[in-house]
Amino acid sequence: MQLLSINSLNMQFGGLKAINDLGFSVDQGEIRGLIGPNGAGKTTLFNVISGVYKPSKGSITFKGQEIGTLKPHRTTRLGIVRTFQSITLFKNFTVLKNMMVGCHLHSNYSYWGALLNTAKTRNSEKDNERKAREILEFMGLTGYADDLAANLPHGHQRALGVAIAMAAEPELLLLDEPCTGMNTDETEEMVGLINKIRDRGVTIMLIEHDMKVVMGICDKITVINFGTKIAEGTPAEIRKDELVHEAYLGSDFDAA
Amino acid sequence: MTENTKVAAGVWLIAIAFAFLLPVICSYDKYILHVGITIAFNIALATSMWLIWTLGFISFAHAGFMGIGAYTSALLFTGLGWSLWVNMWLAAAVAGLMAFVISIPLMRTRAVYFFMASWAVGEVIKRVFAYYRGIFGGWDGIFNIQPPKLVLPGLNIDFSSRVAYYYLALVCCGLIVYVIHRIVRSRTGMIYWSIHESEILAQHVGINVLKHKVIAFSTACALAGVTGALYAHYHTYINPKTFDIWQSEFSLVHIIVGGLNTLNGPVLGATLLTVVDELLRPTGWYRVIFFGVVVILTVLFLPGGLETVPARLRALVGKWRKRSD
Amino acid sequence: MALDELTQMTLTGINLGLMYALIAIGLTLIFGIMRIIQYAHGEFYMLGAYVLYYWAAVLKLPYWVGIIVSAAVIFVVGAALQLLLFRPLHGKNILYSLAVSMGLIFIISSGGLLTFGTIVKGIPSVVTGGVMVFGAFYTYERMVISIVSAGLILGLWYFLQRTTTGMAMRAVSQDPEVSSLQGINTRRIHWIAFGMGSAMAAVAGCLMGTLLSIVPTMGFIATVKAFMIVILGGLGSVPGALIGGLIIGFIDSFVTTLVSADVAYIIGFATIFVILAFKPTGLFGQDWD
Repeated sequence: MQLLSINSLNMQFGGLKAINDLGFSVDQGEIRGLIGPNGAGKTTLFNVISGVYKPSKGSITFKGQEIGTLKPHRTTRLGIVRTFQSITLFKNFTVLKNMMVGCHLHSNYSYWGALLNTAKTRNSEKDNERKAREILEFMGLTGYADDLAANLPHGHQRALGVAIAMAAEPELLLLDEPCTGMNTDETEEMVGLINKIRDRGVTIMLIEHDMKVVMGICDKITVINFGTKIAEGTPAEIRKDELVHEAYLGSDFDAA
Repeated sequence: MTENTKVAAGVWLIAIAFAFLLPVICSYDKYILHVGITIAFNIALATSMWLIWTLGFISFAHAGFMGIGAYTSALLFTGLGWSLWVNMWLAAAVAGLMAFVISIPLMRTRAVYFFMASWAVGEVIKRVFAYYRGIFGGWDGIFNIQPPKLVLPGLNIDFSSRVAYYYLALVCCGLIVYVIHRIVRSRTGMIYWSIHESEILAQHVGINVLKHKVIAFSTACALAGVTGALYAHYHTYINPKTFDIWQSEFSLVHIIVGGLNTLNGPVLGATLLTVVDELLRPTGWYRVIFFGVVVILTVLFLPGGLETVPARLRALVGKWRKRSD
Repeated sequence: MALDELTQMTLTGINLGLMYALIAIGLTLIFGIMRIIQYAHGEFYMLGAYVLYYWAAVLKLPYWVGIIVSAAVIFVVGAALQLLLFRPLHGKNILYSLAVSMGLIFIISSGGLLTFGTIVKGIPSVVTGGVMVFGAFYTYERMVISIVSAGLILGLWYFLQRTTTGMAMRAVSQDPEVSSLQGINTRRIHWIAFGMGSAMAAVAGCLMGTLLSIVPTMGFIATVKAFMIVILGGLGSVPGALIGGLIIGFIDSFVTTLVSADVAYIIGFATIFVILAFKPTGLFGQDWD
């Protein structure tokens, strides 16, 4: 079943066409890889899907609903949650507090309830904390709950980024280079986590430069260059594709 | 952590008790009570300004909204003869409503642009009071704004008495601080700080950032409006100059020197600096220079303000102990 | 409206506009390169005027040399303050540098009131006479001042486009990280830019002081105008500051003559507010963080 579908999408900044007539769709339950050379428009695509930018032309539908003009908090509410290429956390909060903010969407929050600290608010905050701790455990971060996010080692900061996204209970999770700057062990751990997240029924779109990761876990891969789709298929098909090799000039591609 | 919270609660209790006993302690000295009332106003202004800071903004229009409250209350008194008891709420409503309307475009701007836009709003508010002589009395302002009376069966208080007004200011400003305290320590406060930390991430966990900014700004300005009403009925005279950028700047000084991270900061800063301000009053312009020096020194050598001093001292003692072991 | 009145207002508009632009370009230069709000910018404008006053009116030394001396003195003061106060705060929350420049306003303006007194003073003119243009009297003094302002703006433009330091400045303002990787000494660029920006305000102070009069509180108005202009023209944009300066100069000249100075203020600020409401980064500005 189609979860997300992108049709003749264009994103223009001044004279620069970052996304040019792009179209593809993602099925429920799959892990979709999104690859392409630097500056191909992958992160821009995430920004458009999640609502940071309004598309110049074209449409994006999620579960049959047009979401092109929705702001980030609205797309999140619909179930599209993303992570960021550069580590983006509430750095001066503890890990647990990061998660508590992450739970916001399903926290039963109301302004007056919070101000008056009603029994209902106190109960839902207890539920939120339970949920936050459960996700931390799922992500293997339990031991860090009371540490400042800024003090975590790099790999765990990335994991926390994903954990915060998970707290928003996504149906579609957009991961922007989750393994950047990680060593082999950390990368392996992250791959395991991504698989576990998929097993929870979350559909995943993954931008990643590490070809081993992409080829290893993706069901299907979409290749983008100059903002246009140049190939799509299973990892095995992509590996053989002429155009893809040309776009990458054979370099980091053969390494995988 | 809990140990520190206990100490802080203790200090707060002592401070509140002291504030309530002050008239007795100073044997009803009129000048000291005046300083006390000024401190109360400055605390209310600084803490409500700090509430906006929890989202990462500093509004230079803050004193302007205090002015809107003051003028609302003053005009209702001189025009319709309504007392502070009613006007106070209307002052909050008018200031909050104006803030709400202005904040929708204002909050779209960020960082430096917000600072300059809020600065422009503050100046416009002042100039509007100054320009429309017929309504606001121009640069001369509004005179003869009387303090209220409280007449209940068996109780008759005239707030033109300094002591009575001191308690009124104390209770009202105490309530303002308490409301802000409640906001900040609830989930709302957590959302505000998360916007401060990373606006983009806050958006992507589903927080409607613009909505929260508008609500926070309007709340803070409504609270400033109440402060303005209290100010007007105490001084019985207001003019546009009282509410110009200088007033906002001094509140910012209070926050920076007191501390930016918790509500204790602005309360501490406003209290201490108001006292220092009064002590230095005879020195004229030197006192402004003093404030300039203090603010620069704080930023350079004590970032985080006076509220971080206990933690710094503890760290220092800890280090010293380790060395002597 | 009579032709002479219109000419008069236009000439005043150009005159004011160019001087405003001079102040605003300094502010925009400092912002573009250091990403701080130099809230005390107007105070350097005031100090510059007083340096010239002491040089030309008190010591009776040659006027034009005085302008150069004033620019030099304020350059040194600005650069020193950058090294002393602003450098340690580089890269921290913008509130800190804002607070420091606010502290500077307190110190400089009150210090000015204490040292220079509250009495309004004048800098004697060196150019006399004038000419009739469409029935309006245009003094040579104002003509010379307009030419000097325009010349300085052109000179700065040339400096930024053609000299090594100027090009380094533009590089830093476009991308501090990349330019420091390319071997540009950004720390040096910072103090030079701060000094130059302050010196431009000082020259504007000298010219305005000659045309009108000087008081220690004149800095605030200059800051107000400079802020209006950079919001109009976009922070960090030098051509924007020139255009913005001329726009505000014309608004001031026309509205002040036809209605009142208070209305000129309200219109100026309302314009800024409306612009920011629709374009939160100013007319030609970028989204700075």
